[in-house]
Amino acid sequence: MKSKLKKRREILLRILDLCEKALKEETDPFQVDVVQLFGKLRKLLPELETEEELYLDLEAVLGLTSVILKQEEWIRYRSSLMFLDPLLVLLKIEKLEDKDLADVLRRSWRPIVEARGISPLFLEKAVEYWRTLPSLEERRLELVEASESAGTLTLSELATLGFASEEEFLSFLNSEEKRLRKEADRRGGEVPYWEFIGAETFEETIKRAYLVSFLCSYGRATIRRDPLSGEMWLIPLEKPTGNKVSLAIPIDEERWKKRNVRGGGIKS
Amino acid sequence: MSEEAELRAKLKRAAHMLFFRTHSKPGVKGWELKKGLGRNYLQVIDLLNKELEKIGLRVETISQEGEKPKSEQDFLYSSFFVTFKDPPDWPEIRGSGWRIDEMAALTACLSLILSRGGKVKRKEIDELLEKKMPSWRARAIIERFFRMGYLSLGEEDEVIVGWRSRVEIDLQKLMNLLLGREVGTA
Repeated sequence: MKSKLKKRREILLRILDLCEKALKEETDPFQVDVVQLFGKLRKLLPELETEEELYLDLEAVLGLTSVILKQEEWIRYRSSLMFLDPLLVLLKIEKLEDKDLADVLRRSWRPIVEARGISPLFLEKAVEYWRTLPSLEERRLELVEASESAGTLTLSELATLGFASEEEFLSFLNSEEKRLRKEADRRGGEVPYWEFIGAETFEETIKRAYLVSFLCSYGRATIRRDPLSGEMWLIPLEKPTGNKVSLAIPIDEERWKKRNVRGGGIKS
Repeated sequence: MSEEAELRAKLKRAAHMLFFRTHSKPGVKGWELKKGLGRNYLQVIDLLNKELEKIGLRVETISQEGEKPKSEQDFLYSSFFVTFKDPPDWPEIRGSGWRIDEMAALTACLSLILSRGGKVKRKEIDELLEKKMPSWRARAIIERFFRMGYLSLGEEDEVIVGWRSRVEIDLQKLMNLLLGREVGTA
């Protein structure tokens, strides 16, 4: 009794497997003998007893129906003029010279004609950009400051920032993340970057900026930058995203003072 | 305003809407034209097409599925473009900035995709072009085709024919010309 049940189950699973292969792989769907398999299913149907068997039978019928649909597509594609032997095409591409291939494109090509338009919104943005653009003198100053070379922190430097061990560093990172999430929830999803890292002392500000850079690298937060004003906002992320961008944010004591973040930051 | 003057104004507006690019992608949707030109927008486009034909241009329409729209509803969600009426001559191409090897590469990519049923692995495209040019150049050209919309990425990162190729290139003719071409007949 059990062996019969097992045999029936095996037949049904085999049919399902065949259908799946024909549908997934780019093989000829006519390799599946649909008529013969439907015959098998018809024979099996009166013998099916359990709910699972009936379910598998239904799945097999659906699978075979999909194979028939695929066969129809296959015939339509092969009979259409678009069906071409890939090998013949490859041979042609390899043998023909660039000039011949380019001429083939030229003769079947009708390029789009377009002109770039300026919309009122574009003009509005441009005016705003121009209005907020600092004078050349100021920008020169910024460029000189920005050209300071980037470097790496040593363990002793890390210790001066208050990170004695990796565990301690991770606990700081987690508490900083919690602080960011809490603050973002309160402010509707975003927190101004400079406000978030701003602290009583310059050292503390650097420490916070350092931790934020790790939060961003680990995909736990991201930074949105307004291209016109240059302002930045921190956004905590639920899941790390694949779209990572690299952003260098220079911080020195002068800039810290200028930003007036001293004491104006968000309290831990 | 007389009926004729109104029609002329609509014709002018239709030309402006189709020529001037305000989106990141060229082309105007049917519903946008309907909004700007009124219910009889298809008749206005027809009239504009006749005018454009005189200077070697035409209005091309393509549905979201990349085919010619059939019903009125199809037209609403289709994109309208102004394209050349006939293929460009070599002097026109020379002035457009296209290089011979880029055009040859596009023909090779499109014909390989079409011969494989509409999609190929990115690696195969790379390998095909690397037979004729340095790998860095092949990669740069393919990226450019992606950016311009001649190629695009389908499911499972497979390369498929892009929206621009469907609008600009008569793919059936391209394949016929390629297969009918004898080696060494420029």
